[in-house]
Amino acid sequence: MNRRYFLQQAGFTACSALATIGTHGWIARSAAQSSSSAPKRLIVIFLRGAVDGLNVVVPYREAAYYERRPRIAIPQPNKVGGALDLDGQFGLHPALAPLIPLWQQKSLAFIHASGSPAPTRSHFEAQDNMERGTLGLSGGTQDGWMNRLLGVMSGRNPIQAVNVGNTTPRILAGRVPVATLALGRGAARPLPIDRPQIAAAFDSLYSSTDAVSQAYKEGRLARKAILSNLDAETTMANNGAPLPNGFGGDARRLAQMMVKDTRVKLGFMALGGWDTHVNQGASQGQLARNLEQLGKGLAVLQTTLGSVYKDTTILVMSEFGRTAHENGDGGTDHGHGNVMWLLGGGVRGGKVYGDWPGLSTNQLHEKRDLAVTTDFRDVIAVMLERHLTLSDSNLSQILPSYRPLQRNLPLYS
Amino acid sequence: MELHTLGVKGGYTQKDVAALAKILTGWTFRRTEQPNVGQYGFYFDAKRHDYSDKVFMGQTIKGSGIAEGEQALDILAKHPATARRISYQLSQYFVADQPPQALVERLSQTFLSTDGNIREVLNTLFRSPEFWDSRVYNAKFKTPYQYAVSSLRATGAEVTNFRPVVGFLQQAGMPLYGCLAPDGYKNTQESWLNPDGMTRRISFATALASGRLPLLAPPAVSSALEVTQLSNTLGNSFSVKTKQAIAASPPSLRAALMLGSPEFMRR
Repeated sequence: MNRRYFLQQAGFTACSALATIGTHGWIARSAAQSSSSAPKRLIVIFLRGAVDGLNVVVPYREAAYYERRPRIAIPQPNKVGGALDLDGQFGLHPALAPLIPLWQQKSLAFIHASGSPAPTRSHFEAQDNMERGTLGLSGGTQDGWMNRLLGVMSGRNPIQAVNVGNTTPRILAGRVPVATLALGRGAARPLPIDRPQIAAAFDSLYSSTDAVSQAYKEGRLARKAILSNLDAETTMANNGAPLPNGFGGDARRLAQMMVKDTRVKLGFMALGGWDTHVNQGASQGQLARNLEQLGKGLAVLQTTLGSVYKDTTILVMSEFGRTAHENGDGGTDHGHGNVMWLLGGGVRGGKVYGDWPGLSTNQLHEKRDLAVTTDFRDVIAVMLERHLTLSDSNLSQILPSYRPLQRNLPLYS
Repeated sequence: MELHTLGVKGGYTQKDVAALAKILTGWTFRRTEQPNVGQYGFYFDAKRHDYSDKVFMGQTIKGSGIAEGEQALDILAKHPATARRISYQLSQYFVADQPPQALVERLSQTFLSTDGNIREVLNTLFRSPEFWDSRVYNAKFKTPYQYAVSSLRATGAEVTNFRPVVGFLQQAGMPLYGCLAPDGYKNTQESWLNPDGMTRRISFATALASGRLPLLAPPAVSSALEVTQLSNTLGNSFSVKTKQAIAASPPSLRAALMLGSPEFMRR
């Protein structure tokens, strides 16, 4: 526990104490929330390397789109390798066909020309900005917005948030511990620390309250929870039903944990390989292969979540978009505006949101990139407010430097 | 500029990025040895160079060919922001995650006055009171790589099969030669201390100590560590609490506890 955390918690307690004097206090509200039926879940999928949003949700009515991308454009719907029509203006990359049923069921929405107002074209800086979510805050912060979200959620437990991958990403970094689900089939393989005698010996070494001991203890708790949740999977695999490796397999494991254990509220996955400077391809090729894997994985996530899907939001985002023009190597370079994806039971889907700025030269950001007309924090704020039913004060803790510009973005029904 | 010299807030603009890109046009390399052109590796392709004059970091660089790139590298190497950034990184590596500002300032002075002589910068560093401060002794949290290497060194283990070590680094989030970002792995506690990381370290230590880590290529088989020898190697560096915990545990686990102790997590 650090001083800031202590002060925050102390302040929190004081507020709640005051609030209970009134009849509609924070405590009363959170009790009401926890007694309500199913817990709300959130899965964030970060596409690292900047996915080319213009080839994901294709503005196929724009002549400028085809002029700027002679080799890599996705053809119009009904042409060979054409986009899958969404709304008469935009079409989906054909490799994302597995998501069309979700679009038709109106639980998949896109927010086009969205992104960060920061002008940076550095992957690292842009990811950092998006994961911290404190752009414009003087002094900045070390933690990520999903960790601050954990901080305001009730019912803390060691696997409240599960990171799929090896290192804790910036978005989940912070004072609230986060569990890790290893990538690939090895996720459930037993470790020496799982043996009681070894665990007991190390427990005595790490019984203090310093940061290293805290991390050790949280690791042990998370490990227990993950092992008990993955038991079923091991059994299944032993019965000769091998799980697919890669994104689909990881997505399935995360979904299984969420179904089996209602304590798991947040999930985070990252997927790389989107920095397509060279030979991006069009309907087929590099980007198409990556999108196919992503689309299938999202479909697996949705089917494995089953009845939990209706209480889940899946947010797919990337640090920035790519240039409107293709470059000399059949690829695209670092750009600005992109498309965000929103899936889930409560999502008012079947619609491409956002003000479309157009692709003619004077409409482009710095005459080269899709402009940003929806701040990514608007989307996060609406999701936090409508899906996770967080209060204004919670929102300002999670996105401290931001006052949402578009509170009326009707992403949820 | 962003990652290796000036740093993000080093005072350059998007215009400088574009200018440097033009300056470096024609700088290229051969992947394979080719007949008539000889060696693979770096070469300057004059035909692909942009010979216009450029303004880079406030200085005009006359279009002249390969010399422009040399001039730009000199500008970057002599820039105070570069001096500060390299000094900060050295101080962070050798002293503390949040290195003392005064130390970084002194190293920057040495860097600038010796034309970037790293030996002299390190001399200033190693003779500084901040470096010898007892509070920074064994205070840096090891990276997974440092943890694995120091464990293997402490045990004197012979390694002919590196797969278990490579596997540990992978699981600990520090795959060998696999850093995703071009600025390399961080060496701060904030980057590496996390619940899962601790679980992985302790599992690695336990497997290594018990001889279950297949560090020798078959048919050779690793054996369990000799506790007394390990204890002698690590010296008397353990806290009372750690010593008591080790003494109270079964002999077969003692080597694992030494390698997995809080003291051995740091350097």
